[in-house]
Amino acid sequence: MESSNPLTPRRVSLRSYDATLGFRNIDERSSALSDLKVTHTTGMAMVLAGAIKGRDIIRDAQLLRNVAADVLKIHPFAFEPVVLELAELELIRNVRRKGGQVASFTENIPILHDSIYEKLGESWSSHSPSELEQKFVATIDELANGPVLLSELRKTYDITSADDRWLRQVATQAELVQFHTTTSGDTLAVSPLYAFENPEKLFTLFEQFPIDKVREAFTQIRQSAGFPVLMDSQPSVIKDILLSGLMPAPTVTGADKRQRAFIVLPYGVDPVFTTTRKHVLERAIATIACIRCGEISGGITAIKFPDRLLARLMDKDRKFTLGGHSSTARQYAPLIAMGMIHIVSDGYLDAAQLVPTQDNLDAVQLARNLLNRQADGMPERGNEQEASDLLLTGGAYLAPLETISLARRTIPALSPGELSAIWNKAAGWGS
Amino acid sequence: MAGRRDGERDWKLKEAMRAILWAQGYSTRFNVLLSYEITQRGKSEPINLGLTDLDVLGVRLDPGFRLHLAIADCKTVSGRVPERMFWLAGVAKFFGSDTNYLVRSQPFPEHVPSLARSLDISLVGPKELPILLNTYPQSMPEELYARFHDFSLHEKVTRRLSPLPAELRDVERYRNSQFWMDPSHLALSRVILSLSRLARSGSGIDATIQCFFSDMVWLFTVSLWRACAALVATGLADLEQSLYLYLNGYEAGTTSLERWRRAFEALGKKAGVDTPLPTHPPYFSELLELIVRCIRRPGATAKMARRAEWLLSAQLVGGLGSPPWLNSDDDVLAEKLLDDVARFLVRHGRLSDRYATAYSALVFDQSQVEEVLPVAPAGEAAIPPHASNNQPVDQQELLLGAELDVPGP
Repeated sequence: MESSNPLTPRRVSLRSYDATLGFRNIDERSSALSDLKVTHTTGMAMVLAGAIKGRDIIRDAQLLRNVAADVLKIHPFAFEPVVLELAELELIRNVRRKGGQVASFTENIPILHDSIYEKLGESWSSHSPSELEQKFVATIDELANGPVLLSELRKTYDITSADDRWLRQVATQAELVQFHTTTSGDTLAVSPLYAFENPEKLFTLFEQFPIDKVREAFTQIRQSAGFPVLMDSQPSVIKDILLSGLMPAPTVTGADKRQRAFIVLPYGVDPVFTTTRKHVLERAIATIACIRCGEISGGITAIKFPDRLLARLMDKDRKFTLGGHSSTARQYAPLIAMGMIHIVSDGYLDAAQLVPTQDNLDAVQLARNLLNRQADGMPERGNEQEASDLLLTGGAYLAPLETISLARRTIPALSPGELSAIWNKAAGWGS
Repeated sequence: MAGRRDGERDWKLKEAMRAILWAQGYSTRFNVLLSYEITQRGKSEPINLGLTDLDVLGVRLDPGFRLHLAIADCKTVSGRVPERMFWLAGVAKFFGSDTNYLVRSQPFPEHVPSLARSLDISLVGPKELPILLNTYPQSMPEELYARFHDFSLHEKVTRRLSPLPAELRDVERYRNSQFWMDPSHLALSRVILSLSRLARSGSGIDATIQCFFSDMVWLFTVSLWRACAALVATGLADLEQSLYLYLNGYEAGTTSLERWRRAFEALGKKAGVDTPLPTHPPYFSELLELIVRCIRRPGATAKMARRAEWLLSAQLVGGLGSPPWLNSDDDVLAEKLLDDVARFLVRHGRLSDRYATAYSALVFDQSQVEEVLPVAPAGEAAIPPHASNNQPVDQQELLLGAELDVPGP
């Protein structure tokens, strides 16, 4: 197996973010976290950046520190290094101190573009993470591309048995990887961040087809949100994925009268969209299918700028209505069936109008995010919005000290292996 | 001597009108020169053909992103009132001002008010002036008020702003006059261009250059206001495309720019360089960010120009310290936005980071804190990849239509 994608700075920061949310499941005093300090700091910087984005001025950094500790799970001792990391990258400015502590600062997190990922990813590299840490991030990234056999993973990243134990331990504790044993006895590593429709079908797939073919299919699907598959096409792994119902894939008829399914494999979407608000995700996926159909088989007026079109559909000033088109009813049939849009007349043509309920608006926004981010969810699912809202309450917010102190009293989760390793280091017997 | 005494008397009227406009919420400017440059046959240097000047200009943005301009013609001489009213009406039409004051120290002739109503001019005579001055409550201590509105402070500012070194004559002309003569959509890019010329000249940072930079921040703020007003008017659903069109002078300008771009690409191909040229200026994404931040904070954005004006006149030149008015949330946010503007201009004008540091020190009251962490060190590494200006300046200038007479609307 070859690595699916080079580990770009952008991917490093996205995976650091994933990892950091997972690290919340590990006791903060665990030695595993100190071995992953660079990744953890990068991830926390992304989390904090997400919470303060658009706030312009943080007048009370100590309040933010409390909110960050309680809501974002950024340890108070880690707060300052994270702030300084962001300041070094000019994502925050004018950091002022009082009493030796960060008192206030102004934020400059890009609102419209994603350059923050590149900056933080480059910063991660410049901090020279250890080889083990690099392997850890590469593994998480590999899993973001699709499930992978553990044996292949070891081979690709030259993971020794000691590394393997450590990586498995950390990844399992952080709930970043799920391991499943296939009927052939292989271990399949799967990221829990995928929104599979029928996860059990995954194992059948890995048993039926060669690993490389399955990986290739996953990579293709991941590279394009709404990967098109002609319903009358030849059998293939992707066709089998489609027929197995592993991933959601609504079908739309194109201008060429041919039916296509559009496969979407969301990764890292907010968990509410896979549980209590699953209907919103379903609508978002159906929207992606309709838009992709308009792009690929929209006739002479194919969709050129999907994001602009969806922005228009959300625009109150335009009455949530797209321009008239002769194929509106055909192209948006799945959304009409869901009651998400209805047809209004625009002169001699039909136009699609969004039924502007909150769920529908959220669905269109989610579709835009997934389309723009190759089916990746926005990396803001770690309570950043909650923290941001709490900052609005000003000095009235009080940290639940009792809860924190209770949490402090819990015994650190340390495995015998970890303990031995620490001891070996302390005794000067090991490195 | 008589002319000089008249001029001194005019100052008093100008001071008073400026104080009235300031009290009404305007940011102000004295003696705005309107002039054209013409190139004479046989002369290498263009000459400046002054048309007229505006005694007092007031600029204000309301929270709905509508820009309001007020101009005042202040004279102590008696007579020629109807002629001056027609002149003022013409200037108002050219300038797009919505409030136009004719201020006189002598009573107006009886026939004038009806003409003033027809021409939409407000008359301010010797009786009206004190009434207006007393109408608006002052928010600052009396002594500070007097020093801030004293015309001598304006003179000091003027002296500090000029002259720039000879090689920066065109930059100075732009600040003095051309900014107000150009179509508003060109201002954003031309302020940046002027600053990059300043950077290229290699002039060190001294009091003049720092004042000049601060004044360019004020001009850029006004340009941002105009851009925000235009973008809000055309709809915010697709700001990126709207800003792109605005910067190029809407559809006609964009088509023209595209044509030029294709011509340059074709020329490049002939010269053996087959590379696509950029469609957007290098600072586009950051400018869009800046505009989004302004649009998100209408109240704060509306306060930016007054804060910038205070910074230049009262703090930098007058030594009057931080603004005396109460720091509301919008005031604090306005300072932050102004700091963003200064840093944006330093980055894309390719000026030394020291300009931004000095501006930040003035815009934020840093006497109240123990330590302010330095910003990231200056240099290429601090410039994110998308903002790096890898292409030669001349090419950017050509693409922006700054050097070429690109036909526009």
